Amino acid sequence: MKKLLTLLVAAILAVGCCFGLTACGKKKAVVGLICLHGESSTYDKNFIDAFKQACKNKGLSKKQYTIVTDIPEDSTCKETALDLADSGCKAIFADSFGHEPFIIEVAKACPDVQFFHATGVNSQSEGLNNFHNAFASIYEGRYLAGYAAGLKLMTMTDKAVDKNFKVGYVGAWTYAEVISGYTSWFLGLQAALSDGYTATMEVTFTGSWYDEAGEKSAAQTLIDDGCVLISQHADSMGAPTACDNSNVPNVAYNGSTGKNTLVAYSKIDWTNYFEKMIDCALEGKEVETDYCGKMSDGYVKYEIGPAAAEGTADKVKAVADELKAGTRKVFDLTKFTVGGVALDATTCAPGDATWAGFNKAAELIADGYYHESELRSAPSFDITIDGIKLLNAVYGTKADGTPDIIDMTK
Amino acid sequence: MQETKTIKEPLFHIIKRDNLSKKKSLLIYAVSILVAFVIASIFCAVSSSDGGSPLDMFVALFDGVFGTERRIWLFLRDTAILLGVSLAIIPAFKMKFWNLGANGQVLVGCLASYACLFYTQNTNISSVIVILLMIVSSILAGMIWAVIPAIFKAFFKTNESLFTLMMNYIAEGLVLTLITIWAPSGSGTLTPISKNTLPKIVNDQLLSIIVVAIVTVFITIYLKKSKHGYELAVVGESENTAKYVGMNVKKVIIRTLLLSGAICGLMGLLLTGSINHSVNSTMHGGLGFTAIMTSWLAKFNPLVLIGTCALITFVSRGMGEVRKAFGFYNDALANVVLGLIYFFIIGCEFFINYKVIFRKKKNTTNEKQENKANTIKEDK
Amino acid sequence: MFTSLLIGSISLATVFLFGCVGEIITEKAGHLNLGIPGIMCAGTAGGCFAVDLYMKSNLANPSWIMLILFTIFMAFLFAAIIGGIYALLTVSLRCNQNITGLAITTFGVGFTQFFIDNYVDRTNFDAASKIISKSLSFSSNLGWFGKVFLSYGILVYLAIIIAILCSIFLNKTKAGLRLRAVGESPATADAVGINVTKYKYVAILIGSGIAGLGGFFYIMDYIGGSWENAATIEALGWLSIALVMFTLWRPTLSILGSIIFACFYILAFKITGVSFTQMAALKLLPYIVTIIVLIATSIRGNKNVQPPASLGLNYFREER
Repeated sequence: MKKLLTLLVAAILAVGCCFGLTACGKKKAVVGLICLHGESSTYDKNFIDAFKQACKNKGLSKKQYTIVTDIPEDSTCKETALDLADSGCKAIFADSFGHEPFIIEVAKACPDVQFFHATGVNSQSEGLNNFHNAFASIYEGRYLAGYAAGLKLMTMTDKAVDKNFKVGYVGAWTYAEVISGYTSWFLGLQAALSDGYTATMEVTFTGSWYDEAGEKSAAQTLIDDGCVLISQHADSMGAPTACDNSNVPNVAYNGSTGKNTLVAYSKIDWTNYFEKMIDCALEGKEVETDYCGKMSDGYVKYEIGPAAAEGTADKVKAVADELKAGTRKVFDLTKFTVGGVALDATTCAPGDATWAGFNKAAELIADGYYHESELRSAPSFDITIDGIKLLNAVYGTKADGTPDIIDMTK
Repeated sequence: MQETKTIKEPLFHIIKRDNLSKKKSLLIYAVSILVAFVIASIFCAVSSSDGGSPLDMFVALFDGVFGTERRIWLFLRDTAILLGVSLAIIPAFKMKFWNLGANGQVLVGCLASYACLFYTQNTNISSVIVILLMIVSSILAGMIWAVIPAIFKAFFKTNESLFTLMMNYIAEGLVLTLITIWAPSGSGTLTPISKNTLPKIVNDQLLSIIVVAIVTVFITIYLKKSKHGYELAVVGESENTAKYVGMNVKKVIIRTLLLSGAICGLMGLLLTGSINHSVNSTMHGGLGFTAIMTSWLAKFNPLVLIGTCALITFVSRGMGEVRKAFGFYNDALANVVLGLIYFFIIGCEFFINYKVIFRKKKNTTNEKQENKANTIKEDK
Repeated sequence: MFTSLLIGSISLATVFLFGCVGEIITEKAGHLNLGIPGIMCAGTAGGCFAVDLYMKSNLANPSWIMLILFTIFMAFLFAAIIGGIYALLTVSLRCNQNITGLAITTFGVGFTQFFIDNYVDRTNFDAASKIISKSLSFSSNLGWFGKVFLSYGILVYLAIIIAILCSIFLNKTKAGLRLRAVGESPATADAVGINVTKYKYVAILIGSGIAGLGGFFYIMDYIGGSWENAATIEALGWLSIALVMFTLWRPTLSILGSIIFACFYILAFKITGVSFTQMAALKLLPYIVTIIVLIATSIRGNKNVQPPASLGLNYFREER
């Protein structure tokens, strides 16, 4: 009896191995999405939902696309991408900043497969014909969300001190994506103020994309310091909860917070880009090496929340139309100063070191505005403008005394 | 004189078995693992929105681990790394020193390796020297991280579980702090450095496998044949006995944890120097805790350990493919399935270690006495 | 700044306190339950499920007391069930406590994620959270005192009360003494006629239930009813286990210990005027402080700070 059982177990294992070896390619996926976390993270959920929608739009069956979740920013990413290429994927997308170097390695090893990466910065310098970066002009979305915030402030003039509103921002990391985000938000906010009211902003960094207790505490610090409206670039609900508890209006990112204190939020809609990717995989249509989706092409979305001032929706739409038409620029050089003077290519160049090999100050700071996301899709604006104070990333000064980019170690 | 009131024998009682034959034990394990898989596969099929049969889970599991040559190599490599960390903690656990800090010890090994790569990337120092530096510094880093709790345990009886646990968090925090200095522009992620990394032998995986194979042989001999191995086992059995026999218990504790930390540091070297070429605060992958599972399941036998590590790696790698096949977009179900399998393996231990004896329906007093005599005999 | 730090600490400390007290009870029975992180997640699942059920039928007119009682009951229940699996495996089947605990954590985290993602309707979470975290309405009128001591939801006070009751139970009641005897030396307790199995089961179930309330509090009060994933609760659960040792298995000490630990935990986010690297380094504080306290207490060599003698060892009567 026992011998029979042993034999049975061995047989099952053998059959299983056979299954494994013959079951290759059961799923004939043509396009693949690699996610840092999974659906339980709003950041990845944004990509997953858009990807599924795009696949549906293009008529792909469930067997033809695959989504791989919980892929950290290390060699697992490389192995996953190689694995997807092995199984026949023709187009592979990775959604997190740290995936980039590994995807590039795989792109070099698999020249017949097309690779796409969001938020990355190296596609142009790498010059591969099968590696593409992508982002969207989210700075415009943030500007509009900021505009809604500014309109809200104008209904709270009792909270101003000497006609100045203090607002707060909880950021994750001290690099261009976050800096560009809060600067464009702040500029939008200032643009909506009238009657001689001004605003200053305090920014605190948490050092993590997702830290509920940390973001809640950071937001509370800002609120205790007198900030009357808070926004954040961090993925948890920590900051919105702190705002809600203190009845402070809040501007969000990536999705609605579901709270009554929500003024507005902006997000990127990746559906159109995924459709480009599917076209590339199925029909070989070429995709730009570095693509920045515009608001007018449906890549940047915003929504007005329950706490917004009356008439916000119409006013913001008017501003959005101006942005789309190009008559208004987010980083209009006349609207902000650095160290008291307007931004100037010769004295204050962006120093974002990940932008390897680029020193395009003269091209970026021209025509009366900073050309954010035009030369490369990922944001590059990392200068601290006047009116913004960094609470825990004290920035240094260059040798000649002019303000420098954030020096994290000082 | 017998009591007039008869005491009812319990419906069933449990006695401890003498050692069950290896074959029987293995069979019980195999059956319970199989049952766990079957239940898990039914669960997967039922809860998947994409549909699919329970058999699909088995297919996906095997496909995910053995489906392509690349996958097989990765499976072997991951088994090797898990095996390495398990081998690191076995000496400590055999000595009843609860080293919960393997995560941190591995991580500081990664950190030391990356530091070597980072600070030499713009110099012309020869690769050989950098690699030697990496090896020495990662092993040293792991040793330091493990020996600090050991010293305090040896001299002041400080609780090592809590200490090593805290050292994990400190290691992670240290990595995050250094990343703010090393990461370009404050983005929070480090660039992988390909210069001066450990050499590639045939492919990226073989080096790790070879290193761990050597460690396995070393630890097996160390534990079974060396004086050190004997000493740490005695200290683990009873510190007082060890003292009476004349062993320097403090020295044994510290020496064992130096070994534990050294091997963890070595694993960190492989993770950063050979596999990932960078470091982040979760590079340990929770191996320190998984290793506790595999070591205990293997009863601290290094050779059986190969099997338990292979099993756990098989399930975790295979579940990645199951997720894809069933359309699950986070790791929740994988954890449920893994937990289920753990429960069954852990639960079946009971049937290996103990025997359940049911009360016989009609019992004469003689039979009762005979049973009692038997149980007393079996206990001895 | 200090006031805000204190208020934030007390709020976060509640999560630790529930988990810590629950684990203390379990450890006093001689069982080291490394499954507490998973059990706290299970409590979250139960409590959130209760919120869904209750709010669906009572959206128009929710009653504070009914919502609180129902959700606490369900959170306790779910957590106790998962704790029951642990108890079954370690008390009846005599399996190794450490790996059983680790398995429970793995399972509990996955189960909670799966359950809440797929079977709990979260539309009313925000509204429910407001009710559950409601504090005394006049607290804001009492200035500093009101803010620091009266501005919390009921669960915060419940945690403190449970900790105090637990301390009284363990030290002043006969049943508590018996429980401690079971944890110190089950063989002796058995010989004296104490039903070791019953005490262990009850201790584990109740301890798990209490810990489960911590996870529920975190989602419904601390983070305002937003559910994303169970990982944060798991992380806090591990810290709760550490706190048990940190606070020397004394429930009343764990009130203070939780607050101090939570204070250091959020300190990095409260301090301004530092560099980004310094902020990252500040996050190490809670762990460094714990180690310092650990070393200090062990150097002092106080015999009273030892864990229950049979902690981690399963009791098998025939081995006596």
